[in-house]
Amino acid sequence: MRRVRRLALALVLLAAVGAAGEGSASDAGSYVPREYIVTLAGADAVQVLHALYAEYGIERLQPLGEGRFLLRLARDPGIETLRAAAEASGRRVELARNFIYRYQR
Amino acid sequence: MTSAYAAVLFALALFAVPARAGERPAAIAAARAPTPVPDELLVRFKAEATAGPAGVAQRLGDRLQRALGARYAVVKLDAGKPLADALAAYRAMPEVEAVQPNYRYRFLAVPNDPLYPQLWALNNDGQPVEGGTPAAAIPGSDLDMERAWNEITDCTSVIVAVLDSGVNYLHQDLAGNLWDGTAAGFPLHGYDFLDDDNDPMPADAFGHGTHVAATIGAVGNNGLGVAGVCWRARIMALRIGDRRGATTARIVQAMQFAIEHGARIVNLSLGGSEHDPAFEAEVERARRLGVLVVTAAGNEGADNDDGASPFFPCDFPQDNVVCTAALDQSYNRASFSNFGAVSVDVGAPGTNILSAWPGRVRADDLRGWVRTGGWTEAVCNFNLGRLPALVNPASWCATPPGAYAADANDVAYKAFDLAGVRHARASFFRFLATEPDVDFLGYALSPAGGDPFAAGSVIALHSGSAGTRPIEESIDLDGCFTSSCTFGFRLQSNATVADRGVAIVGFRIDTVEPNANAYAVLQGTSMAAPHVAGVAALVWAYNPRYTYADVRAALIEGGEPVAALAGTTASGRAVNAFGALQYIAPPAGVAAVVR
Repeated sequence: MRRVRRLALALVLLAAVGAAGEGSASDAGSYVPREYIVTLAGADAVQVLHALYAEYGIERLQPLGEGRFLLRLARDPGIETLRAAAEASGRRVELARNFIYRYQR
Repeated sequence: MTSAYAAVLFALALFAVPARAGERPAAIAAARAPTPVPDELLVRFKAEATAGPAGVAQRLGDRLQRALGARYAVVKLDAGKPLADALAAYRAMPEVEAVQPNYRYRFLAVPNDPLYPQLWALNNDGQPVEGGTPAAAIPGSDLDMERAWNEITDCTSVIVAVLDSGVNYLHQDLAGNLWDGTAAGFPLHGYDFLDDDNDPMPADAFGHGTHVAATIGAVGNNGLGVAGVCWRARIMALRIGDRRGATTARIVQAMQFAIEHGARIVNLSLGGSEHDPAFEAEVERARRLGVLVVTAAGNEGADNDDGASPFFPCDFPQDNVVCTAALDQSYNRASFSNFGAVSVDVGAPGTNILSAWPGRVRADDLRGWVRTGGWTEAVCNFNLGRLPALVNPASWCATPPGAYAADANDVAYKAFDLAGVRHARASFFRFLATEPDVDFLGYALSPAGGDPFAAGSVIALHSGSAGTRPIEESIDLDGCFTSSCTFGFRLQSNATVADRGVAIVGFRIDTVEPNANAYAVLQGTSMAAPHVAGVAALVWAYNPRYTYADVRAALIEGGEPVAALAGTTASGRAVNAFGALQYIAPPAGVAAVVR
């Protein structure tokens, strides 16, 4: 039993070391690359967002309710560029990354 | 029991000094005091008393109810006589040596679940936890569930949404305690926002959500496995992520689902370091709609309030968030637990927590594999201890290491019985160094058994080197749920440059099984939060008219002061189920004028 426990502990340590190794950015980072949570009120929100961000290649625009959308772009110009585009439109658009939350075990 | 023996027990009870009195806060100690029978006293008479018990009682207007041996008696008081007055009157009688109320003791509610004795969080008697990390324990450092269960065990009037990695709703210890969403079109007790379907089963065989759900509401007193904080519950299973975590988008969707389908408590055993306006807006919406959000403080051992290491949703300012630190079996703050004098509200047990697991874990020692070519069973030193490994070449562990053979086509595989499972996943660590894009390590799977590279299909190929770091692999075994499923490795090389090769360590297969009866020990603030969510559900079921603010107040004000939480949490208290049930919230919005 003690040997099994030692093995388990070693594997946990191994996992901790290995976590920073290969893997996609979504495994290691704090947000999903090229994905944003966009909040825009109004019945024309989808059209407005298409007009604002079509040049970056919209791969996904999924309604999340309460005026929020998951936006995935083919090419990510960065959040500041996307915000600037929103401001120039005169519409109140809120943008944030699609963050990743880890289980706390 | 003989009457003489009973009399001795009565006498002992009558004059025994309460053990360890004063070790608990006054409010809880008072609440724990037994209730006196309002019109009875226990009286001990002096040996030399001339008047008998009946005569003394008669002189005071009472009557002898029952003699307990020669010197002890139960006296029935005259109707309406205050207990305090009677106590004083009997103490003043020259024949009386001692007098006290006749207390009514109740049996503690102890479930018959066979693993219950290991659930120190619910009742800590200093027990070890099998499969856990050996740790010192102080009896009584627990949620005080047995006293709470005397009052209530059924939380089915309160839906608790578990936003997590999915729940094995077919687990024998959970199947009866899940939300029935059939009428709303969700017959499988929730939704999978990751795969966007109706089935919240943990498709990657990651058991975190099942563990959390069973801590809240494993069926209690069913003679099976563990007991949840709630013996009866309605758990809504919302899968928002896999083993890697969950994203804002899925959390936001799941919170909306939970609220729209009647959940009053949301458990979020997760966190991240970035302020997230969409997530906060959803927590605020939950607050407006009266939903309590119980969450984990985080596992970095950090101060969530120092500005350098914020942790969300714990740090959200909404007062419907109950952020929970983890305590160990001595009610010290767990070494890994985050803290925060402002953001972290309470503490709860979070180490060595035994709870349900979605299926069996088949740990494999990498022995008994069918091997060709250079594959060798070895025990190598990985600087973390000596571990069994499957290596190619045989000299992989040597210093200096050797190199794999040219023109290799070496296979190692083993059969596993996966008949009847719902999901399965193989996990292992690999060290790899091959000539990039020329020599390859492959994985293959065959439901028919035999060499999976011949009879099955190749599912991944890797080449090159990740240096000396191990890479964790997690391979979906769907499609191989037979009694002779084989999983294998193959090292292929060409005739030119060779490198160090490959080592496989820590191979295991996790499954999700219908009618599972598996359990595992985990630790983390992830495990602390569901204890609080369960107690919140009990409190709400006990007081159906409570608001989320009342439930929060009961959790905090009914908690037990714990030194390790003083100054590191907002309340300095650990949640105590009995204290929370006994806490009476002062009515809100009532103005009074004192003259």
